[in-house]
Amino acid sequence: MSPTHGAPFRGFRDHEESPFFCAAGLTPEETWDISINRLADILETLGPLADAGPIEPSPALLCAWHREIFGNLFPSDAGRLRWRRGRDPEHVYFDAIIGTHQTRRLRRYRGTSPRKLHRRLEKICKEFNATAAQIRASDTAERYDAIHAATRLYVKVLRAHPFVDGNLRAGIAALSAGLVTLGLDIVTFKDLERHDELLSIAFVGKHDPYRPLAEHIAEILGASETA
Amino acid sequence: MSYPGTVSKLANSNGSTSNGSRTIYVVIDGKRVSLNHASARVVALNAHLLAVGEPQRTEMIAEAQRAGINVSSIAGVSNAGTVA
Repeated sequence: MSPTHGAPFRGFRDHEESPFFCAAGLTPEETWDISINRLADILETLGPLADAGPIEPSPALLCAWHREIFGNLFPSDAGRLRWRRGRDPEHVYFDAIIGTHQTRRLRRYRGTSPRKLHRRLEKICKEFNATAAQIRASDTAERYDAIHAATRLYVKVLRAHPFVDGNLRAGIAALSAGLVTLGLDIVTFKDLERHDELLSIAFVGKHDPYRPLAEHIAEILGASETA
Repeated sequence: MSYPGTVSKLANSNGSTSNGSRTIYVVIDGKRVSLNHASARVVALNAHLLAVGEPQRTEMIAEAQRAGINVSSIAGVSNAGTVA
């Protein structure tokens, strides 16, 4: 579909094939707007939460964030990890770009198996919490170490794809919490395409695949501080 | 309701938080929200656009820009409208 020049703006909305495209009794635009406000509410509370003590991500906290964003809209799917649909495991598939600009193509990923999902998330969160505790306790830890830890949390949650939909939005809550609990600010990805590229590298790359995205986040934070 | 939530004007800053600092409010779609919430909305909208993916995302942003919406100010997006 190519855009029609001069078409009236219909409003931002989710992808039509997305399970969270449109909640019952609402338009797609209203659905989108409500979930934005709920995510904004979460982001707004992170600062005061971090002031009160470390924010320690856990599978339960990820589910709570997801429920907060989508609970009023999709009550049967919000806040629950994928498990089973009828007799079948509730697998989820998602695409990421791989290759260079010249050889760009999509690669399809399958999220972590529902059977292994809870354990996987627990491992991801424990790993982050242990690293965050070390960074807080250290006199020599650098700011980049904190950014790298939060980036790793974000990428791993996205790669696991714990929910039937809304994974990136829950992932942004996790990234933001990871940054804020380590004394940093939350970030906006001005260059959407660049974010996607670096996320893909983080999914497939070898030898510290999180580094390019972490460095990009460091640049964003640096630019917003000097602005 | 209008979309995607244009900040129309700065309201009076007359709130106060528990630690005594003042809260600044802005009006979005006729509703008064704190500046903190408005800033968080930018990040939240940015996250939603990331979630949509291509090509719908670029088409939607371009459409918004043609309608005169400053996507950069509401979603922090700088590479918007490349399809237009």
